[in-house]
Amino acid sequence: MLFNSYEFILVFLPVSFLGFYWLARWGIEPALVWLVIASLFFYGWWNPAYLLLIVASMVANFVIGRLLSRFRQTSKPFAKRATLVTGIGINLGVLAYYKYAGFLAANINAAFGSHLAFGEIVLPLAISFFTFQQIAYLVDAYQGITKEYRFSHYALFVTFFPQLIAGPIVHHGEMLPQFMRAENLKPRVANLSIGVSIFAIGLFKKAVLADGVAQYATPVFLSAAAGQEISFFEAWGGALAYTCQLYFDFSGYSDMAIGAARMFGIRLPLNFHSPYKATNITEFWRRWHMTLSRFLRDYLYIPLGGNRRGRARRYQNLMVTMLLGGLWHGAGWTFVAWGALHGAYLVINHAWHKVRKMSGRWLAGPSVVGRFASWMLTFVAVVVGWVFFRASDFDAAMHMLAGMSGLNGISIPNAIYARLGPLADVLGNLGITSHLGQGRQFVFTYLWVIGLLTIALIMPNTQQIMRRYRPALAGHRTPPGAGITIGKRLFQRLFWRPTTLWAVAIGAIAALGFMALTSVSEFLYFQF
Amino acid sequence: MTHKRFLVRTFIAFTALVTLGALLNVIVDPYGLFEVWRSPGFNDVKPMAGTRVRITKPYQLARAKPNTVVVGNSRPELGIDPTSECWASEDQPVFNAGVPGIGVYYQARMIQTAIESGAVKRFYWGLDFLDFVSTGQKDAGRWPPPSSVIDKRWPVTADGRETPDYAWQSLLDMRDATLSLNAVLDSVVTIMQQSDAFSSTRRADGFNPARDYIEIVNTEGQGVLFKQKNPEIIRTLSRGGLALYPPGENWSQDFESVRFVLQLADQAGVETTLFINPYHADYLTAIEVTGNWPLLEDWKRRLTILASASETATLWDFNAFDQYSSTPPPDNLARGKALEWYWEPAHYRKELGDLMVARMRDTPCSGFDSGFGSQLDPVNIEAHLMKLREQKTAYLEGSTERAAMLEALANEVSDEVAHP
Repeated sequence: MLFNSYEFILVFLPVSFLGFYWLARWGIEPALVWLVIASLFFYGWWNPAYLLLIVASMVANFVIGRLLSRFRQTSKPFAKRATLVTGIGINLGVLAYYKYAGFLAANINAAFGSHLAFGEIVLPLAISFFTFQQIAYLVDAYQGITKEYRFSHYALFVTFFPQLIAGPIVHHGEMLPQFMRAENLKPRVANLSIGVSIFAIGLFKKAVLADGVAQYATPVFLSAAAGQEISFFEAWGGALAYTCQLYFDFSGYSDMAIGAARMFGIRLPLNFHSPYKATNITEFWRRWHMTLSRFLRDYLYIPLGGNRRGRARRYQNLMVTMLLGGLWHGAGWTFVAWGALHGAYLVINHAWHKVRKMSGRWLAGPSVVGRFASWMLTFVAVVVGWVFFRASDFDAAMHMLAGMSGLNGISIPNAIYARLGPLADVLGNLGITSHLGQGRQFVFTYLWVIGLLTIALIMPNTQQIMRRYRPALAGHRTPPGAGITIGKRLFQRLFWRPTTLWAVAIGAIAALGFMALTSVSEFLYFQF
Repeated sequence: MTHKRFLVRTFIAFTALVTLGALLNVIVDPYGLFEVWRSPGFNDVKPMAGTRVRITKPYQLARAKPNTVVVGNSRPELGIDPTSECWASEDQPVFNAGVPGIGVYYQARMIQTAIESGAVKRFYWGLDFLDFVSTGQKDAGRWPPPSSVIDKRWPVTADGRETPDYAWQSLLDMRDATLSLNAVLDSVVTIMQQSDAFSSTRRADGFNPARDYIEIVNTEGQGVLFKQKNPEIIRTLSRGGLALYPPGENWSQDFESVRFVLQLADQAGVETTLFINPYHADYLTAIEVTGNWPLLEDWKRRLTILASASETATLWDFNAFDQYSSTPPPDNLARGKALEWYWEPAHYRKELGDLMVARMRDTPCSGFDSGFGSQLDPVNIEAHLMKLREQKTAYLEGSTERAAMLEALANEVSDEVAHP
């Protein structure tokens, strides 16, 4: 079920909410079991057949987690290690089968001319998310960090519907204690008003902004996939439109998840913090899909050795982490390329910081121009990365990049050219030509992009707007100079309070979001 | 303020805005779906209606209860004006049910719905060559074909039963036109563009007066429209393996659709006029230089046989190199100048449409030309095709420069297809 659907907003969410608090009168267990059943219904709405998979996965991981706890108590290191390896192996095996078998077969067949086939495998929704969450649980059980949970509690940690489909990737340590808190069994109207407000902001971002700009990204990437030559402005328009679409789609989803959870008194971890304001790529990754970055850091980068074994090894670990992070997003070489690109960005960024440190005062001071240049470089690098992320294949990505580099020439629609008067001659002398058609598309692409980037770069984000009410589990602290702060002063008094003005504003954006549901689209992160 | 009060006020604001938006959409009616009220200066011009024609036209047709229906794709939608003086008085009200880019099956379903409603007395069906040709992917003819989403918008199914999902689909379509942010934005655009003389629109009688073409003619020049459309036409005609029928077949879904409609009209006693849309000489030359002229002739032969099997149908052909189609377009840079009869190679103007109506209805309205168009039957078809060939030869000999330009374009496209 989608958050941005009539059935979720008008039926599922109210029924789950009312059912939870009605059952809570009989104690915590019936209420939590109700939430598990509701979450499984939410998951099964998409494809009931995969309910079996998620339930089997939960049962298997719960049993393995219990075994790991028991082995720890009885000091059986080998058995414990073997159990952990088996547990992780099972999780990765299932993920590999559903997500990567087709990709693997296609590559083997291409390399060896074989005819390996696994049939048509439908990727179960959210498999990447619940697999990672449970691997983290097993590792923590191995390290003795977990407690003895009941199965119903564990099941709720995995399936809690606000975070089930596309994150945030939650940690048992931050979720289960919240589920057990007695004060959450009584409905608090403050939680409802905060949750509704955050959810409404997210719905607006997704249904109005992300879906609104999507129509200007998709045709350009489709043209690239069809092998057409794309001119400079068209290519940049498409890439920037997708950059905005992905931002508002994912940010909107994260807000809706945090808002829906808050209605039940649960705070989810922050997953998104104005990533396009970052002035270096390391900071970008501290702000984009923060819970994935946390997972990759804690369960991959650090176990690989992190930065503890010298600079060369650190860079190698970064590359491996980002490559696997890329592959996590999808079974395709474009995702691997995207991961590799970001790995390279991070290595260059770390090396640059080393150079800056060594240079003493000369490169150390962040001037306004320097910060703008850093932001611009980071932003362009991210946009180039998104081209690989969105393109259907390598050729399509290359067609886009060729257009963005100006290799296919620079032209603007004839409908605009014809209205420029004497300026048309100037453009002609600069080698800027005209092409027929797409005038309206051109104008609206750039109007949307300018509008949305202004919001993304200047406006405070949802967490900042709701800062007085601790919307998420932990905030984000920006290192000095690591983010642009253009609108900080302008919007410093913009924070949510239960006032009439805010009630009208939230009611208005909720109405706009609700009325945009007539053209429903999936969240981009659902495919991962 | 307490959180409880905040929630109540949020809910009130939400409900009020959704209700206001819905009311605005129903009153302004940017797509012409409700037709509650049309008022000049407020919502008479409907610039966004063109984006939803596929959805709205079936409902508009059901509401209009016309005596005469014009059916087809964008060509008749732009060319045949229901208010033309060339219609006879008993034809009125006339409704133009042309929808851009739709196939023959959809057109047939439109006529079927009109006939089943019991109101329509005659229909005029503008047939288009390209709607009947494909690269061999089409299904061989049978009726009814496999059901698709659009079928839910017709009150009756293709085989004449009541459509089970029709009420639900209507409800969804109404919802999408009222509780919709896009509709709110389109309502605002509608109100704002009332004074724009060149804004696109659809009239309540379904006609598209092509006002947006006038703006292009004025700002960019009509030559640009030809320059843009000619390569598109040639590209479409250059697809390999164009055929009227699927491989190994002698019949297609499209011809079956025509046959079905003619049979239905015969049974219902509805007067049927089929007409082949006129093309500008550039389009006809493109058919020739891409080697598709014999296919065009085969198509006309097949239509003639089909029409002759019907008791009530007549078939007209306006698709020829004649004095109307043969005028070359103005120069690329000539802004404000336009051909009298055509917007661009594929779309004729209302002025030519009026002459066609006059000829088909035999009404003596201004400009009536008894030499324009030919009524086809199995006896005269071969002589007619021969005459067209002669006209073609004469035109190509007299317009070598234009023909060479289109041939060069065809060669270019052919190279693109061979070496993508």
